[in-house]
Amino acid sequence: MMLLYRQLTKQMLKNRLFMVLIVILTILTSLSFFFVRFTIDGNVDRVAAITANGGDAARYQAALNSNTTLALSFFAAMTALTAFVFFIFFYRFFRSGRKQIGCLKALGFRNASLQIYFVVFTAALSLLGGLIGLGLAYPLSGVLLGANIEAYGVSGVVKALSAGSILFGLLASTACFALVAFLCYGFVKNREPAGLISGNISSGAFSRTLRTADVIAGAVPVKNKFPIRIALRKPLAILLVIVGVMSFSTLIIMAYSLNISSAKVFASQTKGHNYEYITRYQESMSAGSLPADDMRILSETGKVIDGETEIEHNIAGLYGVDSLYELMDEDDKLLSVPDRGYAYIGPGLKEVYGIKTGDKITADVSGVGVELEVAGIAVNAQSDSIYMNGNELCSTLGLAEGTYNMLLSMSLPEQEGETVSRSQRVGLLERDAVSNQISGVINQITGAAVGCILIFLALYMNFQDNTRDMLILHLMGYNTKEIRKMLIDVYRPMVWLAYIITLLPAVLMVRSIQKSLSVTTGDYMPFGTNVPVILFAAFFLTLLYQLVQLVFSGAIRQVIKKEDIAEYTYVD
Amino acid sequence: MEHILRAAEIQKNYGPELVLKGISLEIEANTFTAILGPSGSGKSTLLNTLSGLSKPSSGQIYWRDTEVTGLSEPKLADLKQNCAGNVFQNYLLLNNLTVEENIKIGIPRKKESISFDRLVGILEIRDILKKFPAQLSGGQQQRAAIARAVIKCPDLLFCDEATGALDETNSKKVVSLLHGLKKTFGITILFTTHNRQIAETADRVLTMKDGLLHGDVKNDKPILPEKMVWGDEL
Repeated sequence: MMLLYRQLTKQMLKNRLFMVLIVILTILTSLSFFFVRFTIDGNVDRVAAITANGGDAARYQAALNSNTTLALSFFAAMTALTAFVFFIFFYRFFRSGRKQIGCLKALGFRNASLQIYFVVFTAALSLLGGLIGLGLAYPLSGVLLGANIEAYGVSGVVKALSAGSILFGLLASTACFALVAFLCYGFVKNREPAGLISGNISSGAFSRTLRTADVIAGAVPVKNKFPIRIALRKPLAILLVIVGVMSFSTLIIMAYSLNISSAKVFASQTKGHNYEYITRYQESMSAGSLPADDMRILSETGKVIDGETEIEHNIAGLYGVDSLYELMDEDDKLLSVPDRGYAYIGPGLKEVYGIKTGDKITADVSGVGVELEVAGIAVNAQSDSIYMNGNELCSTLGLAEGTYNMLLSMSLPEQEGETVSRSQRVGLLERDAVSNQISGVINQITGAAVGCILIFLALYMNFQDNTRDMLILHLMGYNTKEIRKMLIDVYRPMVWLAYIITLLPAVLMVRSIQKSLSVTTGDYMPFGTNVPVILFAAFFLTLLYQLVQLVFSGAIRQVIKKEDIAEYTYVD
Repeated sequence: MEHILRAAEIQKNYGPELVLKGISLEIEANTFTAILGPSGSGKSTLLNTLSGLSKPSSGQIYWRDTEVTGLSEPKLADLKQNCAGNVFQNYLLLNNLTVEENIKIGIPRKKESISFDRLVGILEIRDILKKFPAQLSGGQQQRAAIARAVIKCPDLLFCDEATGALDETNSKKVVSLLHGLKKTFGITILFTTHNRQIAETADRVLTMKDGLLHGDVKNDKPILPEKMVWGDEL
């Protein structure tokens, strides 16, 4: 058995570059999870203690919840992507190594022995990458921890991992990759040794691929026919380009959207919010104690019920809207106090839950509900708040008309309450933005790395398959540049085309990811993108492609320099 | 004499194409049987089917009293590991293992094997044991492949065009070695070829054409491999 394992291990490790890239992807998968978990596990049960010296417990708790979901989402996405690369690796491995596998079967090695080997090898590789990722995550998580300290004013936070997180982070992806290896063995499992040894592949599928390639190549100008035909005969490489480009654009768009999200939230909480102070009172205040130039609001924690959906929200009653707080709709038109039976909702309810003007909702406070029709979207509504007529809310709750528990004012109110000044409020919003920017930077780096790896793999697969052709073309008198044009450059328009095709799905995916994150965390993250972002991503993608192409230009020169056709035509 | 291999009405089709059209045969122990036929006659398919590398579409195959056609994959794998060896036209050595490792990977788990030293001596490959397949000539690779197939001292040795990629000198040497191994270790050999001279060294010659056995001749006076006159190919 040792000799069997030695043969298979050497065979696997012959694909050095593929192996290195797979290990990098497994490291990134584990890093994406542990990097965040390090900042959560040691602190999530100690929020009260950590925020005892003035930190914002509620927002810190929300951030931890949000990060937990983000870590899991990233981990799942990276695991899926790496599993896809494992699939491609094994597909190619079993395709190119089928004679050797057939030979091992002919020698009397059972399918089970071979299959177990591939599963164990994959698991070992994944665990290795997982452990390296875990090791790297420890120092890197300091960045996120620092951001948390700055954003939420927490102290005494620690870097720690629970046993559950370690097991999950290492074993969940490992199990997934091992399953891919187990299933991929199916490419050779039920094939007879004689069929594997003869090297025959499914002629039906192959001829279909050739036919499709020829049909598409027939539609392009004559000078491009040959390279296009060659490229299209490798549908897996093209699929890899598409997946790579889509992952890249998804992550870049998400990175920018997170930044825009902060800016949008910042704008919505500052635009029209002209008051200097916002004061909250534990007790309801009667209308009689109201200073003349201040704006009073009755805000109660409750739920917005839309059909079957119940959403935790503040139900705020307005008595008047003035220059202190200019409530605006989506066209920046000023809104007045809603009539009885009507309400304004924030953009979060519209974007995340699809509630729109004219819809009927129920505002529920402590089990007392009132049916309201949505009169409009207030783009600068306070976070997680809907606005209804103040007197209607009072009568619903059995309070005297004019009752309030929140005051917006230009000067400190005489009646003491929990007051937050404009500078404090802006400071908090800016800290939130820092946290989102860090997530954005992580997304950009991961997007660039993943996109680069996948595009590189696609070109590498093409390069490996065409090494012999390159040499033959050179022997026929073609120079390096011509060969590169014929066999490598053809992927550039494909990368662009893939970008154009996958742009809309990527935008929709980011939108739905942010929407589901908003639902899960209860923290509204508005989606946003624009033309410069899309152009930047296209430029960045082209730059990546050029870098990868540069590497392969060098590699072609190396192959030609050796001019050892025997090395590339040796039949094993 | 004892029949070590029996096939009854073997058919094999690839899609709509019937490659073996109902072949029945019996092979006696410790014989060298050549299956002679032109390219495309179905001789390799027959050999693959008889050796368990390919399942027949219908019919039965017995190795001694065991019906191999009905065996599960693990049982057939065990049987192949212990009882049968294969030699291929393109050698099929494992490219990441040295010659020594390639031979030793053929040693069965549950059966006594031939002495490694003795075998490498017979096959004259002692000086290439540390080399990798890519560093060897065709003749050396084929002798290493024979050693791998024979080290388990198989009941049956299936050779598919084992000299097909070799020149005259190496072909003669390989055929001669196979006859020697049959004699020394009592191995039963089935050997496909399109070379009539090689076939004439065999104890029995089965001739194939269009997926059917056309001739079955017992060769009372096989010629010695070293006396073969080359160039008589079908």
